[in-house]
Amino acid sequence: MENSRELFQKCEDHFGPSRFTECRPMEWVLVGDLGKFQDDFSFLKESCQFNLLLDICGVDNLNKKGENPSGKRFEVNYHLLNLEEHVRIRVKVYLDDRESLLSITPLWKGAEWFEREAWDMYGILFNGKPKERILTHHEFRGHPLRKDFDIKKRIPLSSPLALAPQDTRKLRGLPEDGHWLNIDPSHPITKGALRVMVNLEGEKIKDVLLEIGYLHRGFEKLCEGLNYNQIIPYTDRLNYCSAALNNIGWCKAVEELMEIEISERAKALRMVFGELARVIDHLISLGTMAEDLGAPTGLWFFMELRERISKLFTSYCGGSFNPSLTRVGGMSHDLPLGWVNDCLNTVKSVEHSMDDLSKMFSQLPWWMDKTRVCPIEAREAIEWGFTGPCLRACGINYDLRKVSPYYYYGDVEFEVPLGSKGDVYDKYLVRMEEIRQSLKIITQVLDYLPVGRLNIVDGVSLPDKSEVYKDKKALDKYRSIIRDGIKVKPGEIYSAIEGANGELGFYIQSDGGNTPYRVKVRPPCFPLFQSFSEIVKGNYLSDAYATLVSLNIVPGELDR
Amino acid sequence: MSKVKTIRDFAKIEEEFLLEKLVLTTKASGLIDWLKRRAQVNSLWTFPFGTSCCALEFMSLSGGAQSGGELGKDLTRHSPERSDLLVVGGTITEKQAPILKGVYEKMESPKWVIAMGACAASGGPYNTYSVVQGVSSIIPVDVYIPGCPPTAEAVVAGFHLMKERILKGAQRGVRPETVEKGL
Amino acid sequence: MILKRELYQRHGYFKGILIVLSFQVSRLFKLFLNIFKKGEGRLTVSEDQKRSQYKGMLALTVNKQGEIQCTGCGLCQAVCPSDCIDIQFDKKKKGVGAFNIDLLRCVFCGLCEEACPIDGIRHTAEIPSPGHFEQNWNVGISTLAFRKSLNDGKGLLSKYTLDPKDLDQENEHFLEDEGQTSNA
Repeated sequence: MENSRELFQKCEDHFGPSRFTECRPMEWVLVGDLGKFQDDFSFLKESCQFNLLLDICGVDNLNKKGENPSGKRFEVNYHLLNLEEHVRIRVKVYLDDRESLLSITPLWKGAEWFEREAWDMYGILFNGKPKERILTHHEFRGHPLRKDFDIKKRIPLSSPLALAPQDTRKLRGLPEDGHWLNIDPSHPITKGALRVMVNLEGEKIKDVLLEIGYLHRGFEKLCEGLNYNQIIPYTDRLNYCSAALNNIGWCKAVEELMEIEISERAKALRMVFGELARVIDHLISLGTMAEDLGAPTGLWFFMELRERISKLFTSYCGGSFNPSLTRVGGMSHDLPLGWVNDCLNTVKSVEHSMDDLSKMFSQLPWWMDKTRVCPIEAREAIEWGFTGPCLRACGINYDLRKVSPYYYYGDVEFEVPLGSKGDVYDKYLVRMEEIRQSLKIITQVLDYLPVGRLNIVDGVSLPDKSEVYKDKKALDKYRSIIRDGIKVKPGEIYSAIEGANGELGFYIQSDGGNTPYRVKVRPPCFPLFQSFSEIVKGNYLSDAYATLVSLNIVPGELDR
Repeated sequence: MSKVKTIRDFAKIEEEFLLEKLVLTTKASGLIDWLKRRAQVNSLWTFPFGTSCCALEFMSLSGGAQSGGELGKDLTRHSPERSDLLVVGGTITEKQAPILKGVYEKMESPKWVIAMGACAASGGPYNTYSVVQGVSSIIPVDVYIPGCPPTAEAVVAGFHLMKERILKGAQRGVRPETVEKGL
Repeated sequence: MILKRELYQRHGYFKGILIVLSFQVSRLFKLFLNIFKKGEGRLTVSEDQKRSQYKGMLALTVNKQGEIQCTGCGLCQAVCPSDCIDIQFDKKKKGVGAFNIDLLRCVFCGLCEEACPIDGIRHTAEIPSPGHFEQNWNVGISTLAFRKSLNDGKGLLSKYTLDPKDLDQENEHFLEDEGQTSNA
């Protein structure tokens, strides 16, 4: 803690108090200057150890109500993280329509795809980088997230790209000859929405080209026209394996922006459902890993455990997928009778089965032969921006539930498993152990579940239906909250939770209305997939399959 | 087919050359047709074209805990040349549409299509710049299964409905309104 | 927590086969013993009653006189994320003229049930059934309120009884800001 104060002082002395401020504890803001761009970032990386690049987010200030400090149209926000002090900094750079920025890829390798996305969505140019689209298709015209682009304007695609465009291949110096193998989105290994093109020499991989955007649904543009509570069903569909964690991340970000406190019971319930969702995500990821590596019945072992936990979700909210559990200010409704008993029984039976199941895979020679491949060094993982189980498999102890605990994570006892080499076997072991630790957290929270009212925030949470049926005042309040929505005061926030795959962050900017002005999701699997092309070079194609499956790429989150 | 410039042209040409609207015949014309339809129904091989959440739901159904396995729900082949039932589940974007059309064209007739979920049927909640509002503007659909995602029982009922349709000799067609609007 | 060193030690080939075989045999034995257990149904009635929320097919509730409870205030239309509800208000009747839901767009999220202040629309436990492509997927009041599975065509009774005085006030409120109920 004292080191972070020293760091703050050092930055303030260098940049000056007019440019460098602290908007929230452990969240600092630096107003960038186009003239000193390179020096600022080098100082932040080399002297202040902001090693991990989290996100690059563009904003269009065309329709913003209120003051615009710089008078320029576009704004680019860089989010950086210091792993030792657990401090985040946001660097804001303002620019106009025709101006271009220097690229920061020499300092952080993982910035390339974020910059491509900024070009695709806003038209922001980066010096020396080609104009390549990433989420929309190559015949698309216009930049969708600009405020003057109509959301319903569709542009069809006549034919898919045969391979990467000609100029991309020349710029990157890729070989024109060689055997290119195209793994289309309809191949079962790609989960339906990824495209991987490999250049093979015999069976070894020389080069890899990636294409994403096959499930880009325009979530961020949609959010600008919806209320804060209407966005919750859409957040379900981001990472559909662990939907409850997305809901919790979104509501937590909005509540921190509004500076409201939810009730103790709501916090505990959110923890329980979050951990259940994490268990489901890990089970599905391990099951698909088993299936794709040649043990198709292994999928059914894991899916059977997942079915037992899905029944808990079904009895709470009617369906195992897309629960939409939370609302801003609390939860949607309270637990049914007997749910806690069911949950504790299920947790016990899953724990018991996990011990049996690990005998089927751990330490067995054929499994270890297939999975002890493609190790990743810790330094490289940080350069690319890894978080979550993939970073912990490389040996770095960074879990948001431990370093900056939210809700009651500081009070429960659990451990964070670490790997050593970062290969596929380590990721498998880390995930198996995390399932056990999550089940431990659930039993501890349910033993001490707080009682009391669930939704207590006045003016934000809806009053109980039984009151609304009797009382006229409650009915008026109910109607006004639903019709007008929740108003949030102007401001911005970047808030993150520990998702199943890594750090799931939401960056929200509000200008005082009942709809957000800008929403950006920091997907944990975006930097993971970006690094895939470098990790598998020189390895066999089947090892590349194993690595792809172990990264747990969920296309709904990758493409939004 | 060389005149096809965009995916929308495909639907119009299909309407011209093939049957305009659905013809549900209740009497089997001849013993050979009756035998042919029985054979087709009892040996369906599915191609699951899943992109998002509905793909996960379909995958969890293929375990065999529900009935419907005899109708081809469990037997999945990821190869268009070897399957005759295409199950489209998940949001189809403009970038993915040519691939879906390519897969449908590679399949050999007779072939049938089930659109599973709200996103494949009509775009679902995503009325945006990159989502196709309903797969029926690209390929002809036979059975819709509503839900987001549809429950296990609904998918099994969808397969039983498909069986009825094949036994009655129904041919596939295009949803007329979407073609006229030129979506 | 550093993972145990043993997990990185590789078993021999035959030892691996023995471990897996013993696991499979014990599992088969446990499954065999299930024959002698009492069968547990997939979704028994008691499990069904334990749910606190349903997300099945939609239903419009009826009041004690047998007409639909819905007053046409349009809150559900304002809240629906996929814009699938279409309400037409009849000024002469001062009530709902037409209430259409596009079943192919509905995501069954439950926000409309939460938004209705008079228990006018509800999700039931019934599963929305699949259908042929040419059937009418834009369902109206006759299917939503008076289909056969809801009390043999009589409809579900609403939990809330609306006062006739409140009804005029509700409709005034709607007539004032007509045209402001669409999604932004």
